[in-house]
Amino acid sequence: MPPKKKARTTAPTSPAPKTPSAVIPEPPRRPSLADDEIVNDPWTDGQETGLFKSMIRWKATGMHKHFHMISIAQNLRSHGYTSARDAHTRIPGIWAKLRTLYDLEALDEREDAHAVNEAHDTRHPDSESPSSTDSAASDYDSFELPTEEFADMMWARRLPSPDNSIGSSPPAMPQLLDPNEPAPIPFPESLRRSETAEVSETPDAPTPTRRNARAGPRGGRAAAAEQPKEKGGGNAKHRAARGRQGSKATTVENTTEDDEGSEEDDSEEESEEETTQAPAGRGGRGRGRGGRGRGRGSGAAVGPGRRGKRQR
Amino acid sequence: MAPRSASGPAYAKDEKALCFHHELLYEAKVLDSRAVDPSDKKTSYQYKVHYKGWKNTWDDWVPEDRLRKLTEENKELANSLKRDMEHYRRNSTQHTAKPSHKKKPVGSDLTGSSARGSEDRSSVVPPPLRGTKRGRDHEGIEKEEVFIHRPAVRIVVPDNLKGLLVDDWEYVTKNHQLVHLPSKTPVNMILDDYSNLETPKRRIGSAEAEILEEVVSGVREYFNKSLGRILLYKHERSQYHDILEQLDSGVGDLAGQTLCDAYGAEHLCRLFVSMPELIAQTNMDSQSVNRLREELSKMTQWLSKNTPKYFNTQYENQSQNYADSSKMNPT
Repeated sequence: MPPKKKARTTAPTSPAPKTPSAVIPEPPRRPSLADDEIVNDPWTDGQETGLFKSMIRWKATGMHKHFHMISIAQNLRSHGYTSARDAHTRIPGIWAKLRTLYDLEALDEREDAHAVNEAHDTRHPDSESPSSTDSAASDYDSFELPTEEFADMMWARRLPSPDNSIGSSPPAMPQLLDPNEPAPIPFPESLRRSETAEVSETPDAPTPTRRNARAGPRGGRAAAAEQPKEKGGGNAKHRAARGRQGSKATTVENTTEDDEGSEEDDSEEESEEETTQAPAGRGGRGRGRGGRGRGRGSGAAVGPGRRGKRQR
Repeated sequence: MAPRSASGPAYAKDEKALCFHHELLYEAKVLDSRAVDPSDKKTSYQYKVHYKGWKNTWDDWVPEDRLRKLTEENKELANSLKRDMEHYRRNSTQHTAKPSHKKKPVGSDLTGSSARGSEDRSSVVPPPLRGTKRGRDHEGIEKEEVFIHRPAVRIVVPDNLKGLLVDDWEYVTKNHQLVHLPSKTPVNMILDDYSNLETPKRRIGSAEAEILEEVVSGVREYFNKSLGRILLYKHERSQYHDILEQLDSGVGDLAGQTLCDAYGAEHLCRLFVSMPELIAQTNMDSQSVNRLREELSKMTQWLSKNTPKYFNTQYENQSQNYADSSKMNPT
């Protein structure tokens, strides 16, 4: 009796086990051996042992079987079970051997069925099920291009090509429309955690959505400020102050700055891009802003202010 | 919650506002609004927004908490958020703290599922922007941590294939178009072509030749098994079910064939970028993984040199909104 294959949980596979018989090089034989085949089997006991050992680690069925086979062959070779001279222990030989031992096709079918069931059991509660009533419909994740590599390229697509970009009216804040801007990146995780806690803490606060949501990204500002000081100068301090001590002054000062017109902002954005390593001038400027703004307070900064205090 | 809801939507049609997209605020115009739950008097509202200066394919339904009134104060908030982003970006790249986000980090919005993001948020009560976003972030983080312990299986995807993948993403998720199926150059043809070209370069019966065969078979297997599960944009589901029916039907061109006979290079490329995630599910030894990565990179290089032959797909419109179907231009 052939050794029992160890069941191993594998990744769930396609919801529709449309088994491609083409993948299996030859039609599988029943795992029954004629006597002479046993006698003529070139596999030595040692090689068989090595094969079974390898199969415990790498299952030769299911979606990953071909890549697992690379590992099996590699393992047999590197542990000295097989040598390059033994044609029967190369990959096609291994497959042939396995077909004499197992009904590989049936095992594949079982594997696929298992994978589908597993996917059903563990599917995301929030996975979308569109109009389709098909039960398999919920077993999928929508494809997404990996952000790390593709975010900037995707982000660049948000702007129309220059020839048909004429809008109905000029933007009020052209500085937000920088065509060369790379995609935004998430603000630091540490802040996100604390913010999550904070939200749950104040579920009944009046108008929570507006203030909380607003506070959220500002958390990122504090983080930016708390990055090591090499950005240096008054600017970093200034930012830290905004993040930590609450944002009353921030909002106030911001308001003022905006009053001064967006052109200035524009130029500042640019200069920021260029003068990464020359923060001194900006620092001075930042302080100046704060000073200018201070007189113009309104109650509007309450949300972020609370945010600042509560941060842990 | 939703304090304003009793009195109707807080933002009027055509009102100019600021809208969060990701971490930042952008100038936006409210095109339309709708009650999330019309039967509920206290319902919250969603708004269809157009981001000023952006393609209107990026117009989106967002919950109210992503919008801000266009006040001076909020304008400055937008400016300072942007500054902070630049600041943080600089710092984080300096520290090589580039997060190894695989899938679904915060960027879900960006990756074209912005509409879904909004739905997610609004389905949570009350839906503060950060609450749900953070929730998803945690998911992302955990996944990330798992990935750190796996051997990295990064496959080289040549730039032109990346460009085609982004085109594909835009056609499907932003323009709501679909690849015409069955493909004239299906995955099986592509893999056969590659195999036929590459096999003679390797000594017959050599380990190299056998590994090639195994890798090609493995890609085929992965494609058939993972297409329906992870390689489709949401919008492509119904097309996929049509194809499945045809494959199963027993009549027609696709009868008895596999997904590899129906789908083409566009989806194969999606498999290549998803490959690290799939291989991470295996426990392959690092030597074999390296070997596999080499082989797969070779395959993507070859495909990138032959894009005119294999990326000749028409993208078709599914809705009436688009009069002309656009053609994907291989570059």
